Amino acid sequence: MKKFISKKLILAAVFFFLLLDVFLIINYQRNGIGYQPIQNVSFSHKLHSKKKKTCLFCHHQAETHCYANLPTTKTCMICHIALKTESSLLKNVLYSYDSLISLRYIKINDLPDYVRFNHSLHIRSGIDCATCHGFVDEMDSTYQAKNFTMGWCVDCHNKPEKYLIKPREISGIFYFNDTTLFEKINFSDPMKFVKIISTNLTLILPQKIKPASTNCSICHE
Amino acid sequence: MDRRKFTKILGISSFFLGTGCRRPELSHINKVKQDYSTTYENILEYKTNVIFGNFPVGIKVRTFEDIPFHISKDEFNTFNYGVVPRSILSSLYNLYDKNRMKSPIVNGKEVDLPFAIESLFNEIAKTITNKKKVAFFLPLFNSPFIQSLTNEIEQYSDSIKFIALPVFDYFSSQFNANKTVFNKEFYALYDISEAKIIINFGRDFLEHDPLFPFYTSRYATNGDKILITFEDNFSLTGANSTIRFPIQFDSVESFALAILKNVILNNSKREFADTFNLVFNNPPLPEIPESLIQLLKNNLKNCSFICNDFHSASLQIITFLLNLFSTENLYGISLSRFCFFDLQNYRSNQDKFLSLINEVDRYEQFIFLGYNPYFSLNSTLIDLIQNHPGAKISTFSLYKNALTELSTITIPLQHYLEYWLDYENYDEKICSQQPVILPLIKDSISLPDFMFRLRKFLTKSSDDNRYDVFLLNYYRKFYSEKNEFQKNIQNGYFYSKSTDRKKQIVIKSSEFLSILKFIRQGFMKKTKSEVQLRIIPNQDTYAGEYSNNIYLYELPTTLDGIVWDTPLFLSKSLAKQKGIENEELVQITFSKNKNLILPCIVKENISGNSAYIIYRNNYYLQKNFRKNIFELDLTVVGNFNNFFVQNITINRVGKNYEIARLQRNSSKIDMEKFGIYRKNQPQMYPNKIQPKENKWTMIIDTHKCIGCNLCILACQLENNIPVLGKEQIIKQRDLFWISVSILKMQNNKTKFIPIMCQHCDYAPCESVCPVGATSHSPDGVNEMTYSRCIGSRFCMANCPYSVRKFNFVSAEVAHLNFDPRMINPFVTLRSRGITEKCTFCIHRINFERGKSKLQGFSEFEVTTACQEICPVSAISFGQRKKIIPDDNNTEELFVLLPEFNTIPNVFYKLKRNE
Repeated sequence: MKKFISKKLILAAVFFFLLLDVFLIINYQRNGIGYQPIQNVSFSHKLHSKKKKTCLFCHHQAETHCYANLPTTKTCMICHIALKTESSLLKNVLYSYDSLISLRYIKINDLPDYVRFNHSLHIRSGIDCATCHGFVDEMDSTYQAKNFTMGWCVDCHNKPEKYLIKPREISGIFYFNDTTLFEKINFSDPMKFVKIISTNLTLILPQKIKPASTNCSICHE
Repeated sequence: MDRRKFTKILGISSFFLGTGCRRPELSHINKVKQDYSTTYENILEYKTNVIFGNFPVGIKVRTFEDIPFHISKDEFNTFNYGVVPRSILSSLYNLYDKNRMKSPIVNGKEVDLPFAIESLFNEIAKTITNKKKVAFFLPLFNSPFIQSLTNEIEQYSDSIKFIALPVFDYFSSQFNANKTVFNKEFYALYDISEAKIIINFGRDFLEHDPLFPFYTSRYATNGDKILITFEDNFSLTGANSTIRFPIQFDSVESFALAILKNVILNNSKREFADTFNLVFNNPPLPEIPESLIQLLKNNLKNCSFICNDFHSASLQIITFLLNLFSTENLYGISLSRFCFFDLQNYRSNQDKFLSLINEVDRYEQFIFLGYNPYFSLNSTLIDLIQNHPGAKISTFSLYKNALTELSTITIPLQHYLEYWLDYENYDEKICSQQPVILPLIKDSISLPDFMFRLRKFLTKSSDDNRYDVFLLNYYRKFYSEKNEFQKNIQNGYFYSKSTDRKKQIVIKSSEFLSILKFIRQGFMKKTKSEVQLRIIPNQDTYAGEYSNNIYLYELPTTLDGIVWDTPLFLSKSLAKQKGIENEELVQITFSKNKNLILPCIVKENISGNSAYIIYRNNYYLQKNFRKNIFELDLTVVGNFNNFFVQNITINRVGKNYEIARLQRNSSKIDMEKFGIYRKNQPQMYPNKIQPKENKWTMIIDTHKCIGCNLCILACQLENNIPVLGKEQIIKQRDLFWISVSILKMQNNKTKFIPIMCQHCDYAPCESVCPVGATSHSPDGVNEMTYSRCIGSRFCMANCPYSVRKFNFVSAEVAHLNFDPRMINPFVTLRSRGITEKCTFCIHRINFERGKSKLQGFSEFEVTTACQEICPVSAISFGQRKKIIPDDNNTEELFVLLPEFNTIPNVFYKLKRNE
């Protein structure tokens, strides 16, 4: 037995486990696609997109801020104060509304701390949410659709025409090439009315899709 | 070995490996959470006023999500015009300091605030019933609210006395002289903004001065000024002056008198000349060069004279006379040269203090409301407390110190950003101090709050419950409109009343004789002492307890680059006599076996037998930073008259002492190596395309730069550069992104040259990085990606300007003493093993770019942190097209080390002939 266990073997075993660790760590980082934790509130994007609730209805900060917010309980209660109040899925929301304890979400699309991403600037250039987040409006419970690696970011910055999805109505990013469109809006349609009030900006889509800058300091200050 | 043992070891080792190896991002990145990401709406700015010395200084405080993280200048304040002293600039450290006193202590037990205040009030009530007296000591400043409260309380009972004392008594010399000579009580501030020639008698107004913000802001306006200095030490003002006379401290008056005689009395005011010759005939006055006399004679109307406040009364009178005679109208004073400041408070407090000394036995309670006799070397008061039988001392203080050890009741004070107060400035403007954050320490109290509670306790009035409501009601009578209060908060000040401050001071020829006699009496007695030691209070000490700040200790002095220590400066001839060498321990013997051991530094350009200490009290520093520093306790020595000591001896101890100094880049800026910026330089990499119009460029005007080092501190605070301590600095591991180097010109004048990353077009650092962590942005910024850097340090070796710094200590470890709220949320913290350098404040550029994009503008302006704080606005920053509009007209612009052909984007303005 003593012959069998030599120093070399111990070293080899240690080395093997070390390699395994490194492999696991790398895999853990890269393979974020399909990450689907169970949230406290089982919110279905699919269901709500059918009711023509846009993305910006809940994540309204994305339009003007760097950081896209997660909705507060009060945002839910705009509608659910009257709608489907007895549903079992709303139990946690109602509890937080009564007890003033805010809802806790598990963040899915998470960037490392050394990356600074600005939502408002990307929306300003007319990039739809689905470009990075996938078609969330078709998901029942949300999962990570793209791998948020640097290569993926830089690819899109270099050749945006390959990856970009043009703004859809459901995302709530509305845009005018000419200002006359403003007059054509039917104000009897309640949804569009909400949109105009929520934003003070008139977004203008760039005429041509240009490759964006790829210098480091844009994201790594 | 068994199989079981083997599997055990294998399992344990694999477990440790698995847990020990952290994910690379965890060890390698900043710990600032993503929640702090840039937003365009959550940043707010507030204007407040802070006491520095005895006057309020206007500042702006920037908050992010209601947390103050940055202090900058308020340009519209008429006292300091945007000049911020360094102790105020870095005082956010004191706000978030973990070593602040957390809870009140009564008889050695930690209690809560209401109990502590109640027990203090009970003791006060006891002493009043016993017919003994209570003395309150406060710092001297002019606050109408506090003044009214003290008057009310003192009227209520005779046994309570409020005594306000300045940190260092710089008023008294001039004040007393004016009182005896002119029969008027005032302190004259000399407005030097309109003068073209300034003659300075030993005042270091550009660095160690209680009125640093006042004088420096006025020095910087209205173009170039000729500065002529007579001084005994080698100060920053002396280095900046065009002509400097190194003379002894006791002969400053005679030089001033010689100027008075030669320039004015022999010239324009002949009627006074005879009386002058009558009085001053015997000791001959020193000779002054003829060229200087001619210069002053020709430009007498544009001359302004200032003098050191810590000097004899006769010098104060001579400078006053010089200023008086050089103005156009002799009878009456034009306000452009003088700003009078009435010191009724000061006079009454001095009288009270003298009466306290006379009848000490009647006093039982000594309560210190923010004033500390140990800090301001008031040894009469220290002796009085220590030798008084049955004295009960209680203190209000930010930190624990020598005074709190003596006292029975200690109560923590609030930081100035936490409470409301009002100040009255020298021009009778009411300035408001507004809080920007709720009190961080629950059991702390502010000075106005305590005074309000004391008044309520004694008079048993049924007013409002809160001091701030009471204060607002107090000011409500000044406002005619409702919005006016908000306007005043926005401006930072308002005028309460308008009085005519012009004073008629007329000197008749009959009075002149008595004035001259007074001058002669007040002359400093010349003794043949070996050494003339002067103690110069550091600029930071005027901020009181806010000078307990590790940022200020690590900030290098401009002329010597000394960090952390407070050495004794000796003249070269004196050192030669005694055989003392540089950086050696030295024993100073005062009278009565009072000794002081200090490290010393031998200085050139100082006259005769003069020596000086730039004093700051390092008792207050945190223990882990204090352990390598020489403790300087000047309270041993006793009372100083004008902070000037004679009849002492200096001896060698025979030990060396290592003083931490910063390495300078001065070898890199020889005059020969300066080259003119040429448009068509030969290109090393001709194929590389360089945009010319939107490159970010910086121009530093070396004519304006005074070397105050504020840019270093502002950069450090903006970019989260940690404070390392003395051990690291001795190993030359400092992390400052800017270093101020000294350039000796041909006419023996010194120029200060701040050197930061030059952001070269053909940067040598970029081509050697093995991982591509440094790269060049399309708008000409040499950028650094921290998360990519592996610390090979090739870039440091290849940089000809040596501006790249290496992190030997992780920023998290170095920031351990900090609260994370102190950290600028827009800049990443660098971890160990990473190089860093100036980024042209890239976060500000990105912020403004994003903002302009959202608003739909194509052009935007950026101010860097160093540019923002510069008191003389020597730094200008912007896009190439705007800053250098005409490429042909660049004769005055210079570039560092042109022979390396790096094509930098930082330019220096310098006249070629100098």
